[in-house]
Amino acid sequence: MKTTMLVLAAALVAACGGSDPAGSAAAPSAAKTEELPLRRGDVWEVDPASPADAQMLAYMYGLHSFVRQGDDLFTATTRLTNVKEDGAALIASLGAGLEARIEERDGKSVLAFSSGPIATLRPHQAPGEQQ
Amino acid sequence: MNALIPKFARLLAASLLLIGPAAQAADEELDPEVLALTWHKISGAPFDFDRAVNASPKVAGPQTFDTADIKKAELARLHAIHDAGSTSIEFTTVVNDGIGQYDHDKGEFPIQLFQPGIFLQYPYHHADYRLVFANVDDVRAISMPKKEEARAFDQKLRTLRPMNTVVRFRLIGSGDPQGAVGGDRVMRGEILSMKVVDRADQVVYAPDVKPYSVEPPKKFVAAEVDIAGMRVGVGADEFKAALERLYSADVERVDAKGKGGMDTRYAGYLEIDLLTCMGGGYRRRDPAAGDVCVRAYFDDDDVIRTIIMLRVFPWMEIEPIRAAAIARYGTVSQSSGAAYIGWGPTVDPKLLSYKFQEGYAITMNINSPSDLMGGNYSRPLVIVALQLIDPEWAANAKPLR
Repeated sequence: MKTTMLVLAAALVAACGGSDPAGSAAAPSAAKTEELPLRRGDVWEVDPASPADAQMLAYMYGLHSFVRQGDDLFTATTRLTNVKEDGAALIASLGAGLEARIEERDGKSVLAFSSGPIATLRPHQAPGEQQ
Repeated sequence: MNALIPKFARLLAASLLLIGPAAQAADEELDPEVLALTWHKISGAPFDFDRAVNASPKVAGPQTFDTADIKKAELARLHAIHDAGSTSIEFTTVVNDGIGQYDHDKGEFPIQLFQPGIFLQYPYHHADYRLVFANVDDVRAISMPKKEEARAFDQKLRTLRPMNTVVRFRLIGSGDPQGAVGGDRVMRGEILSMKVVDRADQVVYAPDVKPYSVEPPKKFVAAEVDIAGMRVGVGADEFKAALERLYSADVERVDAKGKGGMDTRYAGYLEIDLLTCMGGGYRRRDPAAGDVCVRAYFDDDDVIRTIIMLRVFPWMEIEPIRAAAIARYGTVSQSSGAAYIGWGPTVDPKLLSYKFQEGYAITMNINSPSDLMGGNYSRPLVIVALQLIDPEWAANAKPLR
């Protein structure tokens, strides 16, 4: 009889995510040049003391550092198009059922993902700048 | 400035190796030779028949009068197996592993064999053939959210172990669609049926298995994809301004056509380098969570064609990073473990800083700071590099003079 080797290739922590084909996972579109908020809006960033999983999710979708102008969200050169208000919160649909909710909780701005991770947001700080 | 130096993470956990005894429940004995040669046939991966013949026990030992004929016969036998390979051949394998411990957070009993990163190993001619299954979504775990039900089931399981998992499958291609298992010989199987049996060969779990289905790959349109919010096809001036706005950093513009070892299809690059983690052999300070580096190459029309971004994170396991990236970018084209994953069409690897055998339109590398920059660091950190290139431009770009 043959033997079969069962091998673990990597540390196992969580189940796999979705499987949208490349290029179709998210709804955002490229911002037109004239749309880019190069001077308008406020720059927000994820507090690097936030939980790592929340920072990682934010990074994957460009929300680790973004410009908010009213209800518009811009991640570098991408405009998030599926954004809606929900009371005082702003909800961005990121594709594959994932949503990011920007709102105030306990006096802090947070970026809460529908999958669970929550990051604290802060106004952008220049490198070396202490809040 | 030097190109990025890809160094693959040493973050992978130590491998767990379980060697399974032969299972009495086997419908038939799986022959690794037939499995491997079938995979070579359907995948198109080359197989060195001559080397296999020379390594065969049948021709080992001193040369005799009959050696030539034995070699010829062995070669014909291997070719016959290979040539008969098809996706309709069914295999059955038995693994001495069954239902894992209850996961209280998820409310389920995992089937260990079908967890991300798990593969079955079939050595053949001193090569490592790895079998992963594509259609595991419905069999990955036994959902049992009610604690009382789970407790009773757990008690029952204690009397049934050890268990075996019996899988009937066929080979359908190459690579791990979950991107967690890498290697040159990753065989992708489709489960046709599976069951977990106890030591008395009684069926404990036998779910319905849905065939593997994947939407036909859509045409990769670089303009519709971003990494960390950044897109190719943008003018260099706009891109530079957007970076300066987000990171309050000086964005260096380097017009380096034909200089510094940069690929001659690029005219130059923009760079934001808060950390000096992109080569150069020096650093101003130790990395910290939140640090970023970006380099974006532009062409002769001042259009961004390739973007590389690195960000530093607090230490975390690879698996959630892999899962997040696959949720974002979909089925992988190639992976090397979870520390390197490529998506989309292949591109000339010379255009990329991070590559593994081949270049892909999107890649992700996971490194520790010491992997990337050398030295030792007191804080446990992870650096995740994302890279995006416009594959259509890459296929048509000509060297600049």
